[in-house]
Amino acid sequence: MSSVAIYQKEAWYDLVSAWRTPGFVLPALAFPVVFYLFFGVLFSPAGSSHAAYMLVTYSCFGIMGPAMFNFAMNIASDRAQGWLTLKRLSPMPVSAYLLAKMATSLVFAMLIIVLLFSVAAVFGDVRLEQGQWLGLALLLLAGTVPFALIGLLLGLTLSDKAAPGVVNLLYLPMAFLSGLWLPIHLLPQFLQQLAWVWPSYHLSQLGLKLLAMDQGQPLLHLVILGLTTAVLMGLCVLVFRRYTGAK
Amino acid sequence: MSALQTQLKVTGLVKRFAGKTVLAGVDLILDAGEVLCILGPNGAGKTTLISAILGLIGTDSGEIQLLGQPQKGTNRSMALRQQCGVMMQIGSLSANLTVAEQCDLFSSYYDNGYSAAELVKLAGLQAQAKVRFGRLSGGQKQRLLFALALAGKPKLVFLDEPTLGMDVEARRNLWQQIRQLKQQGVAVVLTTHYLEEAEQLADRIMVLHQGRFIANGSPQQLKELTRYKVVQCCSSLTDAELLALPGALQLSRQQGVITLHSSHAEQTVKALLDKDGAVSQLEVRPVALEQAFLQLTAQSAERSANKEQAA
Amino acid sequence: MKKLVVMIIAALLVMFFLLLPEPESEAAPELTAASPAELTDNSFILGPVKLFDGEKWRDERFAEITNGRVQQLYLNKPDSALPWVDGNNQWLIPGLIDAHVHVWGDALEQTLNFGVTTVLDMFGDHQFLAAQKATRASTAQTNKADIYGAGTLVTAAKGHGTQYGRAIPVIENAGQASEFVAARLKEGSDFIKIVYTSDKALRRFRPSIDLATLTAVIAEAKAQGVLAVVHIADLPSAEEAIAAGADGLVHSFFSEPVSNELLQLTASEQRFIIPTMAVMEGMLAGKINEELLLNAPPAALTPAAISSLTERFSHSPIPADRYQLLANNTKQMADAGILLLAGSDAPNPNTAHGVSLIVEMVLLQRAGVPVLKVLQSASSAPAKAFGLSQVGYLRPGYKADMVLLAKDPMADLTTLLAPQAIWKNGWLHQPELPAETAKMAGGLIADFNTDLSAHSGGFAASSDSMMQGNSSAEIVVQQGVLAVEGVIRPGFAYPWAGVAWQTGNNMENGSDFSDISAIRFKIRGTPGQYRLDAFSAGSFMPVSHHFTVSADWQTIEVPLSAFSGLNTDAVSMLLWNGPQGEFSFELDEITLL
Repeated sequence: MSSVAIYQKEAWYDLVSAWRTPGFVLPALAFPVVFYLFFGVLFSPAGSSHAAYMLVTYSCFGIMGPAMFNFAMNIASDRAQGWLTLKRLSPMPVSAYLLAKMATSLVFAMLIIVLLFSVAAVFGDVRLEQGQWLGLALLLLAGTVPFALIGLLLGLTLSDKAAPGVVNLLYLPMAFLSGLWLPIHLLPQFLQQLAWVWPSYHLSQLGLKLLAMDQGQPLLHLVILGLTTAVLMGLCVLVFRRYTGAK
Repeated sequence: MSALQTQLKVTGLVKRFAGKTVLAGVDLILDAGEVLCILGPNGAGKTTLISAILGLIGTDSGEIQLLGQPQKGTNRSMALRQQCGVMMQIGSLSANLTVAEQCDLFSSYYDNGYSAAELVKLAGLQAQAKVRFGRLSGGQKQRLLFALALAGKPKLVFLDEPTLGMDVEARRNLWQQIRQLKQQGVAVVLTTHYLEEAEQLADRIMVLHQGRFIANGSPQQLKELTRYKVVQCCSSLTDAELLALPGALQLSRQQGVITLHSSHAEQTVKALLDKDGAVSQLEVRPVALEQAFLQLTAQSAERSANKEQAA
Repeated sequence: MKKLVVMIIAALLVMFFLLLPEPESEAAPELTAASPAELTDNSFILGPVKLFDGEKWRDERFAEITNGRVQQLYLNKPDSALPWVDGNNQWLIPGLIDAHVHVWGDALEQTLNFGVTTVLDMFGDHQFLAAQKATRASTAQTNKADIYGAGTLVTAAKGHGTQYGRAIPVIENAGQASEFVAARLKEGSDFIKIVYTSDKALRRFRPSIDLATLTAVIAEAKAQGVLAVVHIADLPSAEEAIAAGADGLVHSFFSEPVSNELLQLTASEQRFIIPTMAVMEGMLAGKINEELLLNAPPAALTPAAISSLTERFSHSPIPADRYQLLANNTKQMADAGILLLAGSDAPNPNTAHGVSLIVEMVLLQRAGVPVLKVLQSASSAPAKAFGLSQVGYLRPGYKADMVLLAKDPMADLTTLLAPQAIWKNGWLHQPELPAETAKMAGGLIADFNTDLSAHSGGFAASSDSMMQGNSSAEIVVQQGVLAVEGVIRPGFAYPWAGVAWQTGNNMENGSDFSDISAIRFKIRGTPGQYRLDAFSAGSFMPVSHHFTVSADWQTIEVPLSAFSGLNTDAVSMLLWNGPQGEFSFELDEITLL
């Protein structure tokens, strides 16, 4: 077997395994769509840009979920059940395992993008340039990386029982405080300032920049998001070393 | 494949967790085509030993050689992993994938391994090929895990409690497969609770107790060991007379108390009483080593007997 | 097989992104921007413009208008699905607010034609006000300005406000204040307007309520939650009104210089003054309309408006230096920090709806009010003074009432006379320009041989009964003549009864009589002094010519020059009045010469 085949199979079976978990698939796909329909489309004043604005924020909300949950919960449970141990002992590169999870996150992100874009186009009357549609989709796909890393970090440090709770505890408030549920300018001033802490805020601002609805400073957002990703990556490597090393 | 090639060599292995010594200088050697059975109670350090050998955990000192290559730290090369098979005690696969899918996935890892279909057959789960792992019985899970350990046609196999949860027939089948491995020249490290399993399969049994091997030998030798007793008494017989008693092996004296090791304690005592009617403070007890070993084997024998009755 | 599936999925994804809807091509920003006239919606992006938000000039260059309201202002053009209207870097200000008008008829349409999108009515028909209230809350398309009003004013019996012929309730003493104010609010008044002249005033034109009543009405208005504003014409009245707690004065005065006490009290208690210089200019100078408007009349100016602008109060001459006094008073009020509101008092003589607010703004500036304050005086200041929450600003949430100007109003306020675009409720308002006034040619108008038909316009009986007077008239065509029967009795301020000839199809425009030298007709009837009234378009005050009628037919020829002050470019109506008491007369062969 070529090593390419290992990567393909690993990715395919990780996706199959995730797809066969209703507790993961249903919320991951349904929540962003339902929320967006409700807050982005139903409550959108006719002719306004509200539906387009919320498309960006709920897409961010949508892609964060699978990335964080697929990594955090599955890695924690694979660790607890010895599955990860078995994989580490077999001649499978660890990168195949992690990239497979990443691929699953991307597939789910793509599904959410297709769903939300369809809802926005059909029900929300959102009209964007071809480049904006495509740019937004690509940005969102790339934007799954930092959240996957957060998930990985949690998956490597938390027990399989604690992981779902902790991820929810991080995911939902982070989404709200980043202005993904309500436009950021509706939040109190101090929460608007606090939003700079969350990577999801920076991602949503970059998305809004594509639609020229951002609050400005796109370069700064890009740099902060990039730095955050790099720091998370470093942390993950450290934690992973500790996990496989002298423990 | 040389039958006498040393596939695994461990020297002076020490592992401490939080100040507690789990492995206190362990040595072992395993040749190709040899089945080594490590016996020991829970907490004796069996899983720790295997984890250390496999590089799942680091060690504090000692040397490990796998397939002739000295290992450092926790890194194990891909080439090495291609030739090792492992079945861990806590081994669970993704509950959402079917038997066939798991086999397909594992077979893809190995360059010269079994095909997916062969692995399903090896596990004897052809009828359950489309069943998800989470819905298999405990024994079926063990069989699949065992098959996956052989996915790469390994030279060296580690089996940590492989028959846990299996019924009698399944266990016998597994034993048969292990015997075949041995015939193919595969070196097998097996940990178990079952004395019977060890007797059936092992070329050599090592007993691990509190991080040390307290016994090492063929099943025959170990069986011998279990028969040794210590006879203690105060007697007027001379050393020569005492050693001439049937079964007597060696003796020592301390403040008038004679300590006699015997392989057939009953005969020894009978002869002693015949020769010296004035024997006092007579006491027969197992050797200290045996005491631990017997406890171990008694427990496990009892457990396996119960299981067989239940089955 | 696998490759096929992957390729199909990839193809589907590509198709998906190709199918995602793009903005309609006309809304594609960088390519096409609509001119204001091309847009038929009240949601759009407007810019780039230089933007005055009612209070200050903003850095933002683009406005997002959604459903007739300002949604957001932007520094750069927002990417939006909304159509984009090119602002051409022109100047955008809020729709103007005229803080002192009296509206009826089509006044709200007229006023909107000049970018005045909201008016504050200081005395008018409360039913008219109530009928307009619903529209001011909505952003539906309309050709009318929003109106907030006082409804019926508060005045003494025979006081100012009673002279216009319409019977209105009057207040007699302070004890009636509560009931009186409540009745006004029930009728729909948005605030209370009081007419007051102090005992200390040098001149008292008409009876006034006393200080106690003034104080009581102001207190009642406050108690019932509305503003109380006061009409004054002199310093003592102004001082007493402010001291009594009036929220604002709806006129300035030129009787004497403003006192420091009044300035300080008004400024420190944040009351406002509506100087209404435009109407006073007509009494004191009468030059500004000629200068700003009549040399080159704006297209939207109707003949009726021109009549009104050229009309004069009949009063004894006032020393000409009084205008300078008025201007000085205005400047001192501005310097003292008093909130000044621009108000025209249209359609009084020398003013017309809409256009005279711009005249007022020019006069304020010329009096020495800084131009930024002048712009505020017609936008944020009245909104602030009267607590209007929908208009007066171009800020998120406010109505998209907007005027686009070709030049910087800070440099030249007269650019307001030629707005590039007017939006009301976010809808582009396109003024219906006055039709060309029909030229009247000489010749026979009517001979009544068969019926009432006329070569132009038409005949109808007319009397003061339509103003609740006691006169009446009936007409009938018989034996080839027009027979008029009626009675003129006192009751209305200007009693009349007889037959009216509307000269054209449109009372607003009238007919152009400039080629006509005289009017000739045959008449006989109850002997007495008869009166021929001629009306300029838009004016309700005729100029009259008297003549004697006997029982025998006679031909009477009246030269047009006999009607001094008649706007011969726009004559709307001629009215033959009978003599006092019961009468009947016959009219025939009406001819223009």
